[in-house]
Parts: sequence; structure tokens; C-alpha cells
Amino acid sequence: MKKNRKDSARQTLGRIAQLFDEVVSEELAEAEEELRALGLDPSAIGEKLEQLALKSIRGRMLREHSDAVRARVRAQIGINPANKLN
Amino acid sequence: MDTVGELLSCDWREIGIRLAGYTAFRARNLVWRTGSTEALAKGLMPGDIAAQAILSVISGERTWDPDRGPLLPFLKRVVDSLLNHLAESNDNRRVARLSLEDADILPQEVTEYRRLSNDPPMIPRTSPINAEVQSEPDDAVDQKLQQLFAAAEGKPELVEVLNAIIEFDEMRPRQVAIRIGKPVSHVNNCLKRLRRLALKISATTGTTGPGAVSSGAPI
Repeated sequence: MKKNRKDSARQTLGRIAQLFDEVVSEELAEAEEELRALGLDPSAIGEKLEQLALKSIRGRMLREHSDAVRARVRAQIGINPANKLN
Repeated sequence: MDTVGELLSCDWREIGIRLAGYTAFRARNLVWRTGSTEALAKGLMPGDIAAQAILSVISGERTWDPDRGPLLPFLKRVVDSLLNHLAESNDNRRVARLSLEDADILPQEVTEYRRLSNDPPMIPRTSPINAEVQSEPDDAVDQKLQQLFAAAEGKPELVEVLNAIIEFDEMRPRQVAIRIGKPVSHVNNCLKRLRRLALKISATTGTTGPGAVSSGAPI
């Protein structure tokens, strides 16, 4: 009997927690508030993530450009990478 | 516009704040639910998890197709997946700490992150771990509920929502709204207030564990 009551309390807490997850806000101001509640500076985080993202995108562009050039050169000189020697 | 073009045209500063804020929201809920910061990797901050999500999408490890929807909701699902993975995993070492301070060595670091991480497929936000509270002693669970009810005392609209959750086993705001005959916006508002009360209680009583999240400690 006692166990059932405990299980029920756990389930209730789980349901409440799940409902809390449901009410996430789409507002920028509330996102900033969540960060401030953790003692974090939203502007600083935004700036760092922006730098990180732009640097990563540049890396991807460079990689894709290199791959494209390599493929073009191979095509021009008639090298098929599938036929390369071991 | 191709994917890279789309990625370049994003306002990353705003996306970063929104995503880190979302991560903080979810992480604080998780900490309240489990009563411990142990469920998540020590040393990881919301910005770190948001960074991992962003890098995994930009690197192509997680394939975002602009034709299938906007970027931010996709990134949020990646964060959900990472958080669920962290909460489920007993071995948090599988997730590399990717400090924002390390931005100078990117993008090479992306390769390293991909090798260290072992991310599962996308897990819906409402995965089983979200529905149960496993890691807390029974007394703490009881105490947490009692404290929440006590905090809601004198606010009949909040008590009404709490009672509906208990009485009808409802897991969606829409369902609670139908039960009590009020608009969904009313229920959402009550849930936000209840959440604020719950987090406040946790911060005051220290039930969220050492270095509670409210003090700026890692999640």
C-alpha cells in the first residue's frame, strides 16, 4: 500500500515536471532570463556562440571548396579514385 | 539557397541566446525533477551544450534540411537529444566538454568532438526519462510535492491546476485546460508560475544539490 502511494507521488512529480517542459517560451527575453537565473550573461554567450558558428561555417565552406576542387582536378586529368593503386 | 548559404544568413547571436536559454530551461527542469545535478555531466554549462548542438549541425553530423523546417527548432531537438543522453548516461565522459573558450581552435575541434561523442538518434523531448523521477529518495519526492502545494496555497488557480494534474493524470496543458474548463493560455500561465515557485523552493532549500544551478554553477 505504502509503495503504491510512493509510486503515485513519483508519477505525479514526473507529470508535473513534464508539464513544466511543455511551457517553454519562444520569447527572446525569457531565454535571456533563464540564463540570468543561472548567473550567466546572455550577451556574452550569444557573442561567443556567434563566433563559434561563423568560424565553423567557414571551416565547412573551405572543406567543401577543397573537395570540389579536388574532384574537378581528378575529372580533368581523368583520374578515377575508385581505380587507384594500393 | 543551399544549406551553407542558409547557415551563413542566420543571426547566430540571437540563435545562440535562444538555444542556450532553451538549454537552461530544460536543464533546470531536469535538475528540479531529479533533485540532483548528478544526472548531468559535471562542468557542462548551457552554452557548452548549445555549442555542441550548433557544431554538430554545421559540421553536417546532424543533417539539417532547410526545406524541412527552420533551424532553431531543429537545434532544440538536438539539445533535447544531448540532454537526454547526458541524463541517461552513467558515463558522462562520453560527452566531451567543449568549452566556448576553445573557440579559437575550431573548426578542427569539431572532428575531435565527433570522435568523442556517441550521440544516440534523436530522442523526443517527452521521452520516458521525462515522465519518471528515478534518482530521488521517496521522502524527497513527497517533500517536493508538499512544498509545491504549500507554495501554491492562497492561489486557487494554481491549486486547481495541481489538483487536475493529480486527479486526472493529465500530461498536456491542453488536456488540463479541458478538465478544468479554462483556456490553454490560462493553464500555461499557471504552469509557468508553478515552475517558478518550484525552482525557487529548490534554490532556497538546496534540494537541487550542491552548487545549485541558481548560483551559476554548471548544470
